[in-house]
Amino acid sequence: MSEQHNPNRQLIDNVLALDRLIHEPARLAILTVLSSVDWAEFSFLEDICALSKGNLSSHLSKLEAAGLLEIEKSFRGKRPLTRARLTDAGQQALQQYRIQLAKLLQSS
Amino acid sequence: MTSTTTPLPNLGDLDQLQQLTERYARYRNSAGGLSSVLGGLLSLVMFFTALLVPLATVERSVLALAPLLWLLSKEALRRFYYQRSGAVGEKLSASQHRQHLWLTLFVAAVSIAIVAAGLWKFGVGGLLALPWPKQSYFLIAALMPLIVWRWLWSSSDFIAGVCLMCQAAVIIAGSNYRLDFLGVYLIAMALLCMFYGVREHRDYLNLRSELHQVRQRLQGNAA
Repeated sequence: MSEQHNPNRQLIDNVLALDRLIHEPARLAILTVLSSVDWAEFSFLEDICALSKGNLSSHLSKLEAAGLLEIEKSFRGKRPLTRARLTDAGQQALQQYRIQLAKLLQSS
Repeated sequence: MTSTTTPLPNLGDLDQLQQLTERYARYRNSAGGLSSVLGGLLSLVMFFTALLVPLATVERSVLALAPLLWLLSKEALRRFYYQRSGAVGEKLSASQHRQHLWLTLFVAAVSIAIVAAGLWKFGVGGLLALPWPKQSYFLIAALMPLIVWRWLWSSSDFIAGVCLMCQAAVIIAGSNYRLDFLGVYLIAMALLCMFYGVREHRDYLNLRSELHQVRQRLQGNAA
């Protein structure tokens, strides 16, 4: 059997094609939440994704460094306010990930 | 290589998370909930108080503060009740933007017509020389498009806000709406706002419990 028609090979290719940065469950939840809204405050992401402040902060930094989202920091009175927004690149990467995931789920 | 310990996410769960967040975000702009109920209620109170109770200037001024009270309570409800888990900005569609623009332009046209009619009748000097309750009528009319543009995104909020501001302008100027066609229309609009508000609020209560379930599932996955 040729390598191209080997179903195991195709499955492995599909697994390898998944974006590892997005595949992490917490980061996937953050991107999914942000994909349906204009922006979201840090406290909402913390609440809906069931993450600790430190964990969320670390995931947001990774996603920001990859250019998938933008972080906007400001103050409301003396309280720091952090807002996250998905970039166009982030939107595309998430769509691409979902396509790859659907393929993988079909082939597995 | 992708970690073998990371389970494959369920596309249905992701869709649900997306949908719930979108519904939560609606309470920033396009869903009023209890603020629409309050708007309708205040509109009815204003209408019947001005219709049935003889009012002095001070009482009329207090009654005319209803739109301001409503706007403050609307903002407070949004910040401290509907989006208490954190603010989320709604992604508004092009049609929602268009609808909002047209409603604002419509109110602006009415507002300009009222102010222009005042200028035509009294002139600039005459308008400035009017007693303050009459001036307030023109001031409220002039402010209406700005308030619609800034705060009144949902249909129910638009109806409640415009009904309240129209009544405030008329009441502070010393008059009131009567129980004629326009009065019945105001009552019907107030009831409609309350109906929509209750429906949106019930949807919010369902949303909270659905969000709670999703959070628990995510916590379970993390554990």
